[in-house]
Amino acid sequence: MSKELEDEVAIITGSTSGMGEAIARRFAKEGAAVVINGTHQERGAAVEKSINDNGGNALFYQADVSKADEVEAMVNAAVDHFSKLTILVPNAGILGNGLATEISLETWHDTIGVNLNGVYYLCRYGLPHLIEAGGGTVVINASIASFKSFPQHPAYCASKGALIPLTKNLAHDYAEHHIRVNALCPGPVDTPLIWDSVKAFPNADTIIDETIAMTAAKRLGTPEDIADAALFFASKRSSFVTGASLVIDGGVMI
Amino acid sequence: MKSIDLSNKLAVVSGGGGEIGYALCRGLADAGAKVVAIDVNLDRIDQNEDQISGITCDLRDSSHIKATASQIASDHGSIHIFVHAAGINIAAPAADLDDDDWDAVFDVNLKSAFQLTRSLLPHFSSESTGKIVFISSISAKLGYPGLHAYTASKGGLEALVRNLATELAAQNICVNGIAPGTTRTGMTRGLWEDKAKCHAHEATIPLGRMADCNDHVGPLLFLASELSDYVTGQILCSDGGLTSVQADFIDTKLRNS
Repeated sequence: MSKELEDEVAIITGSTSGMGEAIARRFAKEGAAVVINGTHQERGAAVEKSINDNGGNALFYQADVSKADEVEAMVNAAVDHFSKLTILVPNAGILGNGLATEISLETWHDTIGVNLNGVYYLCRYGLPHLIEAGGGTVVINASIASFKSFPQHPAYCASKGALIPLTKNLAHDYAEHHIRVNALCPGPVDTPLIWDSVKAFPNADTIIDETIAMTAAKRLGTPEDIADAALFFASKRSSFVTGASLVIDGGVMI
Repeated sequence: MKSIDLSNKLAVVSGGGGEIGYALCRGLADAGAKVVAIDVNLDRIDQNEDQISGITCDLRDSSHIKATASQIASDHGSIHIFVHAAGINIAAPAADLDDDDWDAVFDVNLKSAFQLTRSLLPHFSSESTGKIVFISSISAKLGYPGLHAYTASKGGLEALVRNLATELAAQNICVNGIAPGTTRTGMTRGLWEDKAKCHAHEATIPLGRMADCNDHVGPLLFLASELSDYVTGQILCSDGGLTSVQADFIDTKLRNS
């Protein structure tokens, strides 16, 4: 039997660590050629090498997703290198934490720039290539912060919240081109980001243990849990699913 | 496709003799699971087949449900997956829908989901994350003339998904739902046999078509496999995008442009 993503080409932004890296590794294992992206040269090169050493096909492209020209150049480089593009995973995210009245305007704009504009830029420049390929899938990595507030995460929650209607809008507008667009909404997942996130909580020392106690499996999610869901949305298994948002949080939101 | 492997798993599918139910049984079996279909009518089940077997059960009979669960456990051992796909519809204007109709729909669609879960729970394997998947409907969230009992029962089913998920987390069982959009089955025959009506309806679906029963197999395999071990209490819409958009904008503004 064939692999699930044979002949697919994916760009996964923010894939030099955490969920993005797990998604890139999972997609590569299922046969997709993957573009690794991030701002950190050494980490990106290491992920690229590790995937290629394990029989995958990866290319690292250093770019800041909050800069439209860099994203456009990355998309062009991906198509030059792999001849086509069929899967977009806008995943890169930053926190920008602090009280709304205390964070700098720069922090606000940077957070919106990566978490929202970065998603838009990848779709803006990537979708025409999916159309050219005859179809594809977009898997937007949102968050449970799309639905729920967290202490001192104003820009993060606002930017993630915007991704849900964006997902639906893109799902609607590009369905006729056989492009499906869905969103992942991870809950507490063990990545470098979550350990920075908890610092903004008044109960920073205990919040992780309290959260774990609320989950079904009594554990934090793993980046691989999210990669599994990303694979579902990217593959033909979800052929009739578009515009959907899937919460992957071990049950803490219910 | 190979990454979902349900070998050595036992799946119980209520309504497994129905159109969507049988497609789901087939999908689970193709992924390697042993499947027990329970239904009032098992004509679709080939009793000579190894991987899918059937047990006749009246889902409106509480004691019958209990006995069926015990029989499955004694015949096959531990259960890993329970799918509640049983569902009936009795459509009538509110003024004409009598109590018996209401009760019949609620008994099969909602009450039996709870009774089956309750009866199967003691038999769930503790070796891996248990999986319970209720087949809801997009009608849990949308109104349709005449579908009072059906939509209300599906709404209840989605609430039950969340509630069971909360409690069964302690037992390492994930509980989720799939909300299919309009699917080509006998239940929707009136819609798809009328070409003009069908065309008008499909124009409101972003993916441009009604679902085939097999469209829901992928979502089920995802929710029944370890791919979704961190997902619980959720409803996944397998609806071609129908519930994500304001339908009247599709044709007029974009599809024709």
